[in-house]
Amino acid sequence: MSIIVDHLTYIYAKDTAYETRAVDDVSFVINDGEYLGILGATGSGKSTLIQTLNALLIPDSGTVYFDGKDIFDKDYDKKELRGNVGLVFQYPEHQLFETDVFTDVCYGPKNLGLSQKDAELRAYEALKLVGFKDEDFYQSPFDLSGGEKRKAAIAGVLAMKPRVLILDEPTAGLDPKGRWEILELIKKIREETGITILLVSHSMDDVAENAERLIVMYKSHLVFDDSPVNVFSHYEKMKEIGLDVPQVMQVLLELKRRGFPVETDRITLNDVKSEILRLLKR
Amino acid sequence: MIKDITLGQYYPSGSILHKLDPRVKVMGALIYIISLFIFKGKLGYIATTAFLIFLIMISLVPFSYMIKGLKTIIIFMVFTALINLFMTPGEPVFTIWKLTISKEGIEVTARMIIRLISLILGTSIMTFTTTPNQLTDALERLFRPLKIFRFPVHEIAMMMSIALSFIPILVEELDIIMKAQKARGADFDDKRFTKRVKALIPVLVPLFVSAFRRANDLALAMDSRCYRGGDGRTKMRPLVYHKKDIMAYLILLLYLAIVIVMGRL
Amino acid sequence: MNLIEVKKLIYEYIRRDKDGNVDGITTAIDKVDLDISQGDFVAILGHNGSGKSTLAKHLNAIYFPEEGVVYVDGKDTSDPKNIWDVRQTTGMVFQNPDNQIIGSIVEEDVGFGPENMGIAPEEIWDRVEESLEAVGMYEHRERSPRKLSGGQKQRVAIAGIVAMKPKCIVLDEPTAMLDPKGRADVIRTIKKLNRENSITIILITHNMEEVVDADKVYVMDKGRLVMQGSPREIFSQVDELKEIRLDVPQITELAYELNKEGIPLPKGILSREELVEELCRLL
Repeated sequence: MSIIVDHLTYIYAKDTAYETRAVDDVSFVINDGEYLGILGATGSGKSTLIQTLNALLIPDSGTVYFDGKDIFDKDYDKKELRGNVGLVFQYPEHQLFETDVFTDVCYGPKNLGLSQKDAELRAYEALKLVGFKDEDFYQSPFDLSGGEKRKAAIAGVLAMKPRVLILDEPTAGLDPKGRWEILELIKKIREETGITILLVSHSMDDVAENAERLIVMYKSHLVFDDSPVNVFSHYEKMKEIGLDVPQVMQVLLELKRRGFPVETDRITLNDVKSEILRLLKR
Repeated sequence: MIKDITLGQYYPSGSILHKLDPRVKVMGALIYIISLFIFKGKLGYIATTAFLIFLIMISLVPFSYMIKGLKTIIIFMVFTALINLFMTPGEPVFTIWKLTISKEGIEVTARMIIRLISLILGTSIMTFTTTPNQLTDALERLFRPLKIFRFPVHEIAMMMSIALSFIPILVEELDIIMKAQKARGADFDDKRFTKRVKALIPVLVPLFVSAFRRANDLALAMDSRCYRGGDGRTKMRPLVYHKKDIMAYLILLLYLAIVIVMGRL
Repeated sequence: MNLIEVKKLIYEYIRRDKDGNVDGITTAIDKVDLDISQGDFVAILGHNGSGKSTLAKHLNAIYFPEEGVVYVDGKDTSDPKNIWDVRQTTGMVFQNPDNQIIGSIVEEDVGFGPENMGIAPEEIWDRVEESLEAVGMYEHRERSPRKLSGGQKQRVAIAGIVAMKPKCIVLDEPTAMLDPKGRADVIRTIKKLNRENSITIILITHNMEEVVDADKVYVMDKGRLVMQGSPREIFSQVDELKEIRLDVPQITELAYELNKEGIPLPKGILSREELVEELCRLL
């Protein structure tokens, strides 16, 4: 019960002057129930990569297995796959289209062939899960704030009851409050439903606290597949590929460089705080 | 895919054609189109095709990139070709089922395809070597006489230029929107016509909303950069004919004369 | 007189329901006073909807005050005859890099402003060249802006404003859509313009790390200016900032948390180096 990405390669604009390998020989496994972060700068191939996971893009070589089955097999039901592997795109404006939020969220389940009643039931559940109040169900999605739009978009995918939820840059462009709300929401969705989470971002702040494992993409290649602590310990390499490392971790690294006996494998504010307190009380 | 549309897109290769006055290129495209329809014999095809090859070569735009633009209209081409092939009466060559292909049909079709391809490639060379801004500058200048009839030449030229430069962005956006809805189980491959039309709504609504938002943003950006219409505006590339432009006009006229002469033979 | 003077500015939106009846009034800007002197690097912080973008659009004569006055370089923005002078004095860079590109190649885009101002062609080219060099995009001058990265596009947009020789540039969340590298490049560019070309910078943002080098920080909430001071003064008020749900830079927060545990660290620590120095002193 997992996703296996097997030597996946995707080439854009094949056989033209603009030919580029967007994803180059990438292999990794997504375990059931995991919270996985995918980090990479713009153009690193991370968006292309996730679009192959629900067969929106078809790779040039390699493949993806979902529950042990090759999803690019001719007989594989793509619609069912997309119901199971939900993908929320970066900008909610790209998917919201109905006159009210509730009807919009019904769109996914109805496409899966559910009856009107079942679709509405699912939409209700999904909107409740993302924290919509009853009185906001019939608002126009276009009148919502940036953060609320994102929640509506996430609900639109959750209503299909996916087993894996992929979110592409869910916090980009939001203010600190909106960002915090979305990250808390993702945590809550996972706690309540137990689904697998794949959060794609260029900001380490989004993944440092919550993700259990990180995949780092750079120039179409997978460069790291490890725990956040281990990934961020490659401080120089991360800088080189245009990604940040938690500032608080850098404080520990600097203290260590000056000869103090600190453990540097701490990435959250609380852990760093404890480590510094330990050092000071020594 | 939709993304493969290269028609009407600028390709910076720094060739001699890129450096010509855009008015020459607009007139050149026009002359080339005219030349395609004024001859009858085989020699005319040789002349127009040879000139096209000459232009493609000096444009330094990769041929593979150029023909990508043809792919998008291939359906249209096949359709017209089939009609011509089967509907032209004449000496039968072979018959499939109830349809007969005639020798004349093959000839007419071949001619039509060569003309169509030449037409598209000829005009593409203009757009590949001229930025949308230069193109509209040229049109604005060429149509300037219409201003006396209070025709808003500058405004229309500006609108065209903006529309052209936003096409690639909207095409890309369309692609993302379609993917976003497919991720929600949308089916754009359904064969039934009504289903297909219905499937378009979830794509068109976000596309229009986005286009309006972009238009609004762009208007603000233009305002804050002091845009106030064509009056009092200067051009960073004032259109002035140079020696090479005169040369280009002469070559074009010579070419037209050759086609006229060869077309009669 | 200061370059920008805002006195008792009020701006209200009328909300309407579906049938077009007046539903209520939102006060986007509520009695704001602001003075910015030539050459300053000023940051305005606040949430979406705090009124910071609305305020910015007043400095560029896109919006006009309903009550109060805005002077830009001594000129009243609500006077129609000043509008072009005001827009040329304070240039504006917006959030979405794609929606402010007008030219189909970089040079043409940068030249758009000067063309509108009616400047002679030779001078436009000089200005385009200078501005592109100032933002570090000269080598890309002949490329299509569409093929550039987000950070590069934003720097082209900045060059487009610089070419109009403004005294002040207002940047409305210019880095919100960029990745860390693009963000760093844009911030470095505007700091350089401030330092080397003495252009006044007004940076509107909700990214706290970007404002630590500002001369002055204003914090807006619900249409009001709720705090102002140096970055150090602002970020030493961690509790107040958290109350209006704004972050503080991670380093500042760490220092604040350590302080709460009884570690004697000064308030408002902004940089990593500073914190490390202070900690070393204690060790």
